[in-house]
Amino acid sequence: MAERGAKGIVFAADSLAAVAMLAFFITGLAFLSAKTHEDSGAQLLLKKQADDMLAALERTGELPSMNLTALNLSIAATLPDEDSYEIALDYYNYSSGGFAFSHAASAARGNANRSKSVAASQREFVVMANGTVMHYGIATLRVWVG
Amino acid sequence: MKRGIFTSITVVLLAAVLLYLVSSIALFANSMDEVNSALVRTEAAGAQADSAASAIRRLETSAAVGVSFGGNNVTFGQNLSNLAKYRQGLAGLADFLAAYGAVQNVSVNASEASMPRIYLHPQNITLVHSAGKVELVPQNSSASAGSIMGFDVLLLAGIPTPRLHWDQITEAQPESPNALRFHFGLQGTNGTVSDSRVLDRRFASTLRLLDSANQTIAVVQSAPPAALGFDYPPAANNLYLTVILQLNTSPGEAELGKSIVAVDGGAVKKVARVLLS
Repeated sequence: MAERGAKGIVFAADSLAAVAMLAFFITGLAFLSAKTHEDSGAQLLLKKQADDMLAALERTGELPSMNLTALNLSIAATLPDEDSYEIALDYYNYSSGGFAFSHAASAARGNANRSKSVAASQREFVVMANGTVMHYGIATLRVWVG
Repeated sequence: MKRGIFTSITVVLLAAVLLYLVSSIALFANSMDEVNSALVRTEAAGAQADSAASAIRRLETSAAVGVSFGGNNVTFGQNLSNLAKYRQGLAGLADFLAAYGAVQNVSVNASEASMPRIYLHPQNITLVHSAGKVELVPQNSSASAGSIMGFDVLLLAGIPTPRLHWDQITEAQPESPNALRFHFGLQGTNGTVSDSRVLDRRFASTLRLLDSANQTIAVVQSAPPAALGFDYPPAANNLYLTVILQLNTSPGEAELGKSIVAVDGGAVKKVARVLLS
């Protein structure tokens, strides 16, 4: 009887170990699966929206126009209402010595909460006047939900 | 005793299988994450290539050659006095992209872009700029040179209106299959001058622009099979040239250079074309 009792304890321990392993496996699976589902799809969408927004502004000529008010109105009208954004424009001048920072401009909708997931896009452009490059510019558009 | 050993081995095997499954899932999840980061890299390289191509296009159409399509006609409008500014601006843009671009390994094929060289598809006609010369060069085929019906060459120059002199000319009947319609018009500071002919595309014809001292200011040449050349003083100011190319088919697209932008984002490499119309 004592031998059978000892066997029972071993089997019970085996079963517990198996159940623990199974629980570990299922928990790991659920965790990793959740991590996969938590992928950057939403982030990618924001990034794509930001890229497309800057591309559209470049195509319409608003980005190189240096008219921040018109640019801000276009972005506000185009991005979904639930999106907040911040557009920053940096202008540089070029000489034989290289590039010198000229000035900056920015506009925003909503409060940038850095704890939120922010997607950023950058686009370089040229500002032309009378067939000459007036400025080389960098537009950075940050977009987040909320 | 044997049963115990058997059970232990079974448990160990089971644990090994479970660990193998867990690690497989982990590897799978990790690979899914890599897909996302690969998408981000691809998107970044695409956006960078598009950004560079758009900036070059704006520079090119603002400073060098504007291209527009209207039916079967293609119009190349260019301020020849601006080409130096264009080249300087392009060199600056290439440096700017390399220094400040979101994906910093951006290169511009300057030999194709700075001339600038424009390819007209699908007719395979090339507009080539070199110092003091503009050439429209078709290929010797029915689809290329054979598609050219004629040229309008219009010049706006800030100089006293010159007189026109044909050095050599071979004309054809309008209904001839070798007929090439040619019109030249010039507006100078004291009036306009023009000439219209039907040339024979098998022979070269040369029109010279002479000033009051009979010095050559510029030369327009039609050469077989249907090429057009315009020679001018490289330092000339206020020289606006418009060439209207008359085709017997619709043009598809005009491209600056050939795939002149290259973005190297490490795992993602991308080339971009600069389409002008």
